[in-house]
Amino acid sequence: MDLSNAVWVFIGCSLSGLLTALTGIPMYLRRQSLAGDALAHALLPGVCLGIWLSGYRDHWLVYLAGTGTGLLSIALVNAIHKRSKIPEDGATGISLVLFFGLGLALLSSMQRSGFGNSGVQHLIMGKAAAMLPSEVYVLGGLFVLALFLAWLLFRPLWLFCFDPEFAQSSGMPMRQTEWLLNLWVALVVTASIRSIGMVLTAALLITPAAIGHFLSFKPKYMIGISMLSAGFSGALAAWWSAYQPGISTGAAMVVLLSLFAFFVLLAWPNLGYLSRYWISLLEKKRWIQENILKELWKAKGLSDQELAFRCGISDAKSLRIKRSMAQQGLIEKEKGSWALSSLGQEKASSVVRRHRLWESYLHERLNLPADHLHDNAEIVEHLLTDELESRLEAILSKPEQDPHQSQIPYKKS
Amino acid sequence: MISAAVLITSLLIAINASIGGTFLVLRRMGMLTDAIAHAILPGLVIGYLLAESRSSPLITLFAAATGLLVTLLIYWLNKYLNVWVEASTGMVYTSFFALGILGVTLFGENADLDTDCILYGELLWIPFRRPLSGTFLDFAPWAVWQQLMLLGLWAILLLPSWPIWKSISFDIDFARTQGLNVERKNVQLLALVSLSTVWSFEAVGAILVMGFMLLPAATAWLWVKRLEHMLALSIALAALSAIGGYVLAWWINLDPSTTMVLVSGTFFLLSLLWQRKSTLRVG
Repeated sequence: MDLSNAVWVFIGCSLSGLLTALTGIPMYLRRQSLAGDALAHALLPGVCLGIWLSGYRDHWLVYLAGTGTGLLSIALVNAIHKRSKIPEDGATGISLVLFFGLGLALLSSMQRSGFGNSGVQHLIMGKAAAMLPSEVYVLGGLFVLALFLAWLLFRPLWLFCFDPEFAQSSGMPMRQTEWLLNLWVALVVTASIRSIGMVLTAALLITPAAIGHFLSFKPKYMIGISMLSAGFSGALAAWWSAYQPGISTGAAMVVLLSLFAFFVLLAWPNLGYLSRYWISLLEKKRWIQENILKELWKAKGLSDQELAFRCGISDAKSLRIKRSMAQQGLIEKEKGSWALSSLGQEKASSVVRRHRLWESYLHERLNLPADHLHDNAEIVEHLLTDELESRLEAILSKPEQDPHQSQIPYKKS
Repeated sequence: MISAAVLITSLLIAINASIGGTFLVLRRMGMLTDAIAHAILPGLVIGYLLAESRSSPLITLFAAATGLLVTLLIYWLNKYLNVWVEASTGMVYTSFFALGILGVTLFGENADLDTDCILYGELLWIPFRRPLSGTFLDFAPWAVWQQLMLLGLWAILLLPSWPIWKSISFDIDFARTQGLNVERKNVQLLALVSLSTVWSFEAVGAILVMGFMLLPAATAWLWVKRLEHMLALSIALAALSAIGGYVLAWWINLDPSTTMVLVSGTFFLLSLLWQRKSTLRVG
């Protein structure tokens, strides 16, 4: 095909994003993300060897040797981990640095003996602008194959990732599957080096899968989200580097992807950190309001300090919350101290009712002694819903008093 | 050409790194070295850009702070958002590294930084970087003073509370039940590891720092059981591989940092094989 270089780069970057994201998901789910990282670093000696032997950087020998050393590094991790007391992450680090060191030694001796022009220097950081059409074809072929395999083997693979014990007990060849998966990862990473570079491939194996898993537990959504986010960041990075040729496309791709990841983690509606924090703040406020209502219900004409003390909050905070409650019409000022409005009366009696019903339930049904009830009821009174409350009433057949002989305030009907 | 300054610097770097590595390997934080080593890059770039020189303390400060920030971010993602720890490690360090690379390729010319120096380090340039000429400090290269300072900091951190470090390394839950402030010790340890990575980075490169930390410590762990012995043995192994690697580099004309890691790795692999044989004989 006769396309301009920029188009090739664009297609290549998007493809390698899609491909590595799909490949990274099993590694991520099997909690071996960092093994993928080690594997990516460990391709260096193999790829160098391949280029050295064949003289070309898109020769089949390069893929063969790169995949070979990648797999060897995983074998080394397993050997260290199983045959000594060194824990898995130490073993991963050792294997990574050993293979990478070997690769650096090969690389620098190759650069000294005149291989500088064949592009070996870009293996580590990647240089998408120098992508060859043949490399894009390899990526495309692998991507089609990956989609086909993922479709064909979806159920066994998912089982293998999510429930290895069950997979094993139903007769799946675990060791062979694991090695085939590692082989596939090594092949994919070798093919993507051109666009992203060796060090940053780990990002494309891990980050999209983490985004997908954070946003959805459904397998198909998870895969779709991961692939889309990686594919898009690849396309955007290629576009960016077409305008600003000096930048490293791989780094741009990872930066864009990570920005998206951190945005999702921080600010995604309902799931992100900010959203969760906001919900917990609202929840805390509701608890305090309910406690204030309850204290005002129990003792009329409490002084402000006494009320704040009983609710365990500072005077200033209690004042702030009472103002907001007055705005909601829950409480009103009466002869210089706060009292419940009729709406507040209703809400407060509901909180007290739930507290006392729960205490009765714990006492009668769970046989807890009377002095073990209060602390738990202090929490559960905020959690019970109307439905649960009426269930409790029915089960206990509307008791008059709670275990501490206090009246339970029922709604007048 | 064997230069005493390069040899002494690499000896000191290897020794300092192996002290930090001993604790990291024992604490199962081996891959944190990987994360820190990659993640200090954006700190370095920002430092270079702000200071516009290569020997400003600002650079050290920024880079070490980034290293520490990364470990905290990994911990934070894991604790508050339930991101699996290996995934958060991978996510955080790659994003920082990519940011650094992007910075280098965007502003590289101004900052006198290039990707080769990030990978290989520039051990051979060490003798030419000296502190303020004319003062007494001038008699040794900058890197030697840095590493000596670091050795002092390790001594200050470790010696007064040696039993605490021991219990944290081997049985962290016991240390917690004894009321020790484990988190504070963690931060102190990681801060020094981060500093040590930053000061070794220029000399030995980003990724190979990891080898200097993990390999001697892991090798020592294969042979001995007591923390004192492990520390002593890993320092000795680090020193030995620094010297051996330097000689090898001079002999086969490679970058000394690479050969040092390879020598150290050979020690490790030989120990692994030997240990396996001896356990087989016993069992």
